[in-house]
Amino acid sequence: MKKWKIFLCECGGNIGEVVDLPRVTRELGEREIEIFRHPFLCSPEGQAFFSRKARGAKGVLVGACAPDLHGETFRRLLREQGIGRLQLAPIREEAAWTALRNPTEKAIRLLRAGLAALKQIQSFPTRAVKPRPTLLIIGGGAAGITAALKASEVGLKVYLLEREPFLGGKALHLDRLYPRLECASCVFSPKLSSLLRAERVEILTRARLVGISGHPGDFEVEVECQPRYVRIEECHGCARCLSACPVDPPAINWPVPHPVPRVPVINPFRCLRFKGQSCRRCEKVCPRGAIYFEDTWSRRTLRVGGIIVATGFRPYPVEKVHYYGYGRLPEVITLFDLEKAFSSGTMLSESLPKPLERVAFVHCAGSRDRRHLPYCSEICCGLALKASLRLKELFPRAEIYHFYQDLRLKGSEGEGLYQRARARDIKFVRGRVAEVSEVPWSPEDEGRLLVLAEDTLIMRKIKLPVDLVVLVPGFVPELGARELAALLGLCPGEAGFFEPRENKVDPAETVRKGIWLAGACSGPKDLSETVASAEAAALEAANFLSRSEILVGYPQLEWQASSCGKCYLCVEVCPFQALVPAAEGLKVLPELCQACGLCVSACPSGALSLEDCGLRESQLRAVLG
Amino acid sequence: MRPRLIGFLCEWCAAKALENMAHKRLRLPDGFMPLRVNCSGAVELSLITQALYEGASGVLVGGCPKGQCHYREGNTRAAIRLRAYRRLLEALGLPPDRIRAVWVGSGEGERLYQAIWQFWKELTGEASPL
Repeated sequence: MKKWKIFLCECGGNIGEVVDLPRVTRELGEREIEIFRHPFLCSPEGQAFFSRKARGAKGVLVGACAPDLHGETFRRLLREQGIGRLQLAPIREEAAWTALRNPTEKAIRLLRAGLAALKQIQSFPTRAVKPRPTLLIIGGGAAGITAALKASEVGLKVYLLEREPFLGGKALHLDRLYPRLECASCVFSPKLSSLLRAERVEILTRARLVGISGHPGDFEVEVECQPRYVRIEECHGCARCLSACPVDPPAINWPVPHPVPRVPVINPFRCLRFKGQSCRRCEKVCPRGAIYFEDTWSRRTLRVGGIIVATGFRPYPVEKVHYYGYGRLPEVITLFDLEKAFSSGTMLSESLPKPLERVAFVHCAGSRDRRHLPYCSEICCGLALKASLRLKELFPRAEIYHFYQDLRLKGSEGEGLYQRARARDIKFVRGRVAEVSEVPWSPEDEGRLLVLAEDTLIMRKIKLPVDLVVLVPGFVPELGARELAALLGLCPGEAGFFEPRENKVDPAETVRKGIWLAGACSGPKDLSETVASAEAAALEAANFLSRSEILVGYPQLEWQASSCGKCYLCVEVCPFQALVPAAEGLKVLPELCQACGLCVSACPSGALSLEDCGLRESQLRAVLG
Repeated sequence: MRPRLIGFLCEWCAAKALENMAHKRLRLPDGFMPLRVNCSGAVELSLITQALYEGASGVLVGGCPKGQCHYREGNTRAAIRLRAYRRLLEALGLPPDRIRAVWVGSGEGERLYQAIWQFWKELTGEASPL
């Protein structure tokens, strides 16, 4: 006779040392149930054990870790055996790690609930679909570009979506790279130009995602494009229009160091023609007739197999840390203003009234602070040190002070950078800056800024007159990340960064199949980490999209005509318009249905049923009984 | 093991938050019984009734943060229904505070922890060990 089989994983002591597994085995033991125990069910040896012992089971219950971690592994192993019924009880997370006093009791109840559900489920309904070999990448920064290049190399068609008129993101404004101080554009611009040459990459600038439907392997996405007023396919980047524009600085422009695509964009808020005047100088000088004032907002629908999210980060808006005076005091700038000034070549001395004698770098501006960012962004210390070394190169006479809490420099090269900074006589003060004030401490410092801080190593207050204050803010997710998360159904963490499915083993995957994360949208990353994570995401995407078929869950929403009262509440609540009234009562469109169960819970007469929902009553009884 | 608190946790956010909490080894009351559901909006009110009827002291529904539902509006529906349900309980002369909802993101383990212990304390008087 076929039996139900329960597999308990000891998880190397994580479960075995907390939960009394022999007692669990005794209590759950029944005639129709076989119970197995293994120290590491996910190990190769454990998997072999699992396959061997599961053979011929009616259904399998696994008491181990969270379903997202190894659920797929167990499901695959069972599919090879032709067993479709699998239920997972995460007794590690829900009992062993979180039960206050009696984890064994809790584990038994959770396993009972799992068993009750297992006895009711039918085999996991799926259908095979061939994924579309097209990839959408949201965000054209360092991560997006890298992922696009890698994906196009393996033969995927790539749509690269960028909100701004030009690609490159934050990396474009970098001057030197941490930690070796090599020139950023020498490293980064070859990537940009190879992107332009890459086959199968379509770049959509000034575009954003507005809608998504479908399933992994075949998403239908709607993209909205803002007008550029210049035809990308016509323009060849001669830049004559820039000098023809009567507005200063020109209203038709490319305001970045390395414009990709090399096609200018018209700012309609500055262009005279959009202000009702008859100027069309740029149009007249353009040899290709690329200027197109009648350009409008447009929408496109794309069919893609998968999506890589590479929306990146932005520095924390330090205006919010009001006592540092950013935005109020002109001599207070952020690290990114400094970096932009370096990369665009505008000498700082021009904009400053006095020669630079003393500069203060204020680390952790808003970071590790409950009122602002409760976390450390990890990369800013290195960026600040790098920028201060560069500043020392440009202004060898300037005294540079770093006010830090803890210097968090990664690896041997980070330490080397610190040693170099010490050798160049850059000073380090451990302590948080209390205030940056324009009121001088002594009359001779009139016109300079005053930094008030405490040196916690020598326990003395410091009042330091400086000429320039560079704030080093932490990082937060890029604007619009929350809206995108809502559209794609990604769950952001507390800080707003997207959470990968599993931090260590699946850092590029999300809870949603067919959507991957690249770069700093999942947490602050420097350029090398960004590139690495983008390549990982591209690999995951290529792997997924080049499969001959993928299995997608096939929703089995059932409708019973006899008990339906035809109130159509279900039609009203369905978020996916998968239910439509029909002559015979109701029609279910299975290609739109996502099996969320909203209609089932809304139906007042119980005419709708979804397999999944029926399990809960017995589970409930098992945990309460 | 009485009293018992049932937590219907949506598998996209609230159950993930529970895992996040588990990684921090935060301890929950033994009477808290999590049940994973695919969406907070899919929790039928009859199921909550059944839970209370069969002896649960409280029911906590956990879903994604507002506007972040995996199924677009499941958590919004759940919030509306639970509000109505609490009013119904009140009209029947039953304590409406035995039903509660919490909206947490997948990384917000600590918030879920606070919510569960807060609820537990109100139900039983036993406070969090922290």
